[in-house]
Amino acid sequence: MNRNRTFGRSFRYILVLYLILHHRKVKIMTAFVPIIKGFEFDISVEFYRQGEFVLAYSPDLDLSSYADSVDGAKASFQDALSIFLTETLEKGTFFSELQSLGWEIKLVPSPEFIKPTKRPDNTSRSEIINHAMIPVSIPIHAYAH
Amino acid sequence: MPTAYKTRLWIAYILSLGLVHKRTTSSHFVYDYPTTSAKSINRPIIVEQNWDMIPVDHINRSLRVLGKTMKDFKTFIQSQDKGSKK
Repeated sequence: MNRNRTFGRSFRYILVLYLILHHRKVKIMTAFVPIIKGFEFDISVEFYRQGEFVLAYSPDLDLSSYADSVDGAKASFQDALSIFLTETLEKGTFFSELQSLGWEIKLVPSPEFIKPTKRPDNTSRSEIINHAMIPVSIPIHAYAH
Repeated sequence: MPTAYKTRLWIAYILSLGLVHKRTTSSHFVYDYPTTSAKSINRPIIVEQNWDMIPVDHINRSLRVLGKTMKDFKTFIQSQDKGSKK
């Protein structure tokens, strides 16, 4: 009789302990989510002259911007990139746009962005002044689209 | 062949296509079709507001987004010239 009571009590303790731990686990899991802010990849940007302008052009995104100097073009490109990301993520066209440019996007088992091998404009720049790699950060909520 | 075109001409052209000024973000004008329009583009058309001229390559890329060619843009410029001469 006593044995049964002890067993019942132990079982109850184990059940309560499991529920507490499970509850905590769920809380811990949700606490980790904000840490994963997004995913990052680099895009190549080339700088070249056209008339009085210096253009910053990324064949990876077919995106360009311009100014009268390399530094100015780079700053302007950063702004254009930010607008491109904001607008396409907002419209839900970001992934389709990347795919139309030839990007391969793998979300499983882990997110992977494979760059296109073909240039969108099929031109070769003979007078490239400078190259740069610029990081692109995609917020995690973008995957909801 | 010119290496750049006037910014105001380019803006007039994209407005003639039905695009509207959506917003201005750090010296860049952002243009897109209105949400009520049947037309849509995957990415917005971005124009630098600090410069009176736009390099040809930047225009060509924007034309690709719009599904237009340089020939279309030149035809528009010619129609503008004719209009101003009248």
